[in-house]
Amino acid sequence: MVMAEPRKNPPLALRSLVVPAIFIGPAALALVLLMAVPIADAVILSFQNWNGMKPPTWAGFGNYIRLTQDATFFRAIWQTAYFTICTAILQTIIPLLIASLLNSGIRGSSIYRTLYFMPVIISLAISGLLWAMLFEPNFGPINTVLRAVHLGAFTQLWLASSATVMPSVIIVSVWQSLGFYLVIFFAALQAVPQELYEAAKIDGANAWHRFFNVTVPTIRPVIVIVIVLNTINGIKVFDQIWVMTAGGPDYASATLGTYLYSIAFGAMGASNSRLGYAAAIAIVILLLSLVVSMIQIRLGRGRDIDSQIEK
Amino acid sequence: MKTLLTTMAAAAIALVAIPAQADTVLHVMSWQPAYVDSTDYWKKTIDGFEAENPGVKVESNFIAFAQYLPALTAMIASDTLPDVFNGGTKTGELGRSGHLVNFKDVFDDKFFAQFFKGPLRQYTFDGKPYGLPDMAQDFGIFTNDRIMKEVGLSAPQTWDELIADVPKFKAKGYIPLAWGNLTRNTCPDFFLPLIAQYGGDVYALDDHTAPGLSWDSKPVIDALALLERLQKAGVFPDGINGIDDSQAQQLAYQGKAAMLFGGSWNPGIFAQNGSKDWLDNYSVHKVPAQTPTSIHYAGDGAGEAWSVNADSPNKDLALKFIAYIYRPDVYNWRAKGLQSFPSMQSAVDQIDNPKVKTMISWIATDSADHILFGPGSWDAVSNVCQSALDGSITPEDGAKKIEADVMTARSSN
Repeated sequence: MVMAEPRKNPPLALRSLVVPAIFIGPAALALVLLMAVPIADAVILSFQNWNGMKPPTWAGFGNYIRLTQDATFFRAIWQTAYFTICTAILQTIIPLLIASLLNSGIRGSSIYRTLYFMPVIISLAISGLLWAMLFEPNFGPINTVLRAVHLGAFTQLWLASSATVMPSVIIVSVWQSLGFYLVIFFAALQAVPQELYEAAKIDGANAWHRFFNVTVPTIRPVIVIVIVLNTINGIKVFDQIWVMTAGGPDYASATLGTYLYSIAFGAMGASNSRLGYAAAIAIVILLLSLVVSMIQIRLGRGRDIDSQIEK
Repeated sequence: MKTLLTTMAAAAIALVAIPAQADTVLHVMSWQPAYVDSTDYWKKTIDGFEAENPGVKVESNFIAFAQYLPALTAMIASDTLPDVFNGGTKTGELGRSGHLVNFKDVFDDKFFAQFFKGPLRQYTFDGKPYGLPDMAQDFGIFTNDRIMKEVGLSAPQTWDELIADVPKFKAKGYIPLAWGNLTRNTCPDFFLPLIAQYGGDVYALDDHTAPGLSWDSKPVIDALALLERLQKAGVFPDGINGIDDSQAQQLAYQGKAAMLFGGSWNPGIFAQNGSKDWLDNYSVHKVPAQTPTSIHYAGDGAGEAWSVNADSPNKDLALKFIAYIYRPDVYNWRAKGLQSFPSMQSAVDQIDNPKVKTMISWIATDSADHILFGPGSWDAVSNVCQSALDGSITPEDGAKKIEADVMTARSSN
């Protein structure tokens, strides 16, 4: 009688790889197809000249060299940084302060939260159009009110002036996002143990001291997340600015996103698409985002080490 | 019994699964908001074609103008152009690169003779018409005659007269001439005919192949200088680069502007959106000229022109569709419905609006190019135009920048 050879199971190490692969595989495949392949395609395109109609021609580093000579590109980098830094600061500090105020037991807190959150549910494009009407220099409500209260000297061209266009779009961004970050901060503040505040009070800490020495350190991870979200949103800002100013006047509100778009698709009536050059800009944005993310990750690690040391 | 029921069910499923008839779908795309199934004359047009061509279904796709050219660019790059579409300012490049049907190969001279010359010329490149104008357009100045009477003025015949009149308008609190340039589209419409007023040939500039001809030539510098002079004199609204066309129209509707610069399609918009004061009091006039006796140049062209995808598997059917929609009886439905400047001469009597009729009458004497098709031309001109209105560039530097930007765009294609 011949004994059947016992069925050999795969080694444990191999088996331990199969299940994760089954779970990770589809997502990884989707990432490769939807992210890695287009990125690789964009990298190749950035070394070509292509208007979409005729076959692309090899340009080598021509597009990147041209970028170094493109004053508008550098202006767009500066304005993107300006927008990102301003919104990251304002959209962190203002919601945090208001959330703290609402968390202090002020009457009608839920009504205020609802009111502050309402702009969040309006699409960026629609809010952009609404604010463009408010900012209209001749009959827009903002200048009209200023004139009505004898503050005509403070009227501005708002979106039409290179001096006021960026502050104007930053105001809109802060208005639009205030409720979103406020809700995040409010939820975080609710989780801060009241005992900490009571202990601080016993130690003689006033409201500011309690805010800076209790609230801020306790919700620091949330503050970091809000700053990171604001930074990412700042670097990729496009729709709100495009609707309000199309990057104008004279590129005064052009960011990397709007400049890339105008190069790829032209201005509103454009006859010329420079897809290779636009791809080169996209790659630069990718690299910039990568650098900013790496810095943030590094800072995050530093915080972890600090917290370990404190423990 | 069970077997019988199963067989019947399978047969029923099979019957449902087999299409009644394999329809050929003709994809038609434009930015004209009226060309959708809910518009009676467009539906009549489509129904008529489908009735004449059994088994054919026409799918009308509308994309708003602001998104149209980006969408078209994406379609070009991904090789997914529809069968029949408006090529806009990409028509020349698309045609020259072999993506569009040259209508000269399809239609005879009698067919082309139906169109006004200017709009057809605009879509003809190297002698090949790659687009057929749908509605034509020219530009003028719409005045609020109640305000003009109050100020004691009539529509200005020359630019100098307009500049001299500015203090009178301002003294009464009125903006002399409203238009908006937020989207950078309107300034070229205003500016390019000025080049013609100074003796320039915008078609030749756009083509940019004639020896010695360039955008930094004298007519362009002179036109930019006039634009700068008008802006500095306070002819236009404050912050013109920050307001769009609809906001400029509001200035006119609300009686804050004495005049409005606009196109021959505007009376149709006024009829829908205009205030009673505006509708009761507005009239249309040619844009001012250099001297009382010189040509005004009102612009002359077509924003929308139908093109046929040369690579379409439905090319023959698409050409049949084109022949059908330009049949005078069928074209008249659109002309009557839109009440805009028709591109076909035979449809002029379909226009009831007296203002549009007046503007149509200018095409014989005041035609000038106002849309650019050459690589980089439109962007270069619209950007410098915005800078000129902003006061951030001199006319000489502006002209040089247009030339440099056009050359850069051409070298990188």
